[in-house]
Amino acid sequence: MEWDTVEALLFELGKSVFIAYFVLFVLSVAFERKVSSLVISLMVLAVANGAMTALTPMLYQLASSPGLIYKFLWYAVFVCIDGIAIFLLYKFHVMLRQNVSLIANVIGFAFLMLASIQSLRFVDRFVSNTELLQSLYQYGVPLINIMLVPLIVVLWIAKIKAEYRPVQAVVG
Amino acid sequence: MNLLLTLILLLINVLALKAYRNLLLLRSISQIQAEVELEMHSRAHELLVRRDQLEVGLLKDGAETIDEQWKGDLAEYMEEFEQEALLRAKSRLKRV
Repeated sequence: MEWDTVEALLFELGKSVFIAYFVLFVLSVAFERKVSSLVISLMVLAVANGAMTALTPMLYQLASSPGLIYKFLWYAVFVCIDGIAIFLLYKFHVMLRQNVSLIANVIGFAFLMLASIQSLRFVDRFVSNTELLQSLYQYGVPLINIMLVPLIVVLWIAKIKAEYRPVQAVVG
Repeated sequence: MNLLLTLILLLINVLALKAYRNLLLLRSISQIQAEVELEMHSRAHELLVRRDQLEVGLLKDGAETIDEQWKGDLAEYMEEFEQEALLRAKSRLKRV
């Protein structure tokens, strides 16, 4: 496959990934029928990603105006939403007294990675002026977002399988 | 200016890392609780099996001493169960 095709595909998938998260969230509510770690994790993921998707056009407009502070806003708002998402993940598990599943852990880690990539890219671009992380930013962020979808599906299936075993596996 | 903005980003990242570590801590607590639950469950099962054997008369010799022993084990189990619940409530309350 041509590199341009990969790039275009990544961009397109990145835009529609919110829909995938939302569908997964609705499916989790339909199948679990009660509050669980999976439902909480997917809800936080869909809300955080939805907020980012909604804010992107506005932030993009801001970031294209001159001034370092506008460029900073672009990165800082995303880092903030990532951080808030991890906090919500933790807080909802405590408030609703749910055991933290592997899926919640993976989603939390993904948010952490996204926040660090955003921050490092800002430093790379405007503070140290090295431009080393441009491709990491360009491909890393959509790649993490897209990879979460199959990862969640696989972990979810593994969890369902574990629950149907005669002796319940409780690690999930 | 640059330094200040970098520090702000660093601060948000540290906060995010802290939240993630809390999440990990909560996960390990969850796993310990699940293990305890599984263990208590298997012990309850074992007690029930012994009771069944006693009632159908499989263990004829010294049925009374075995019955006494069974009651003792049951009491011990109940006590441990209560303590376990208290311990859990404590660990939960600390985090809320």
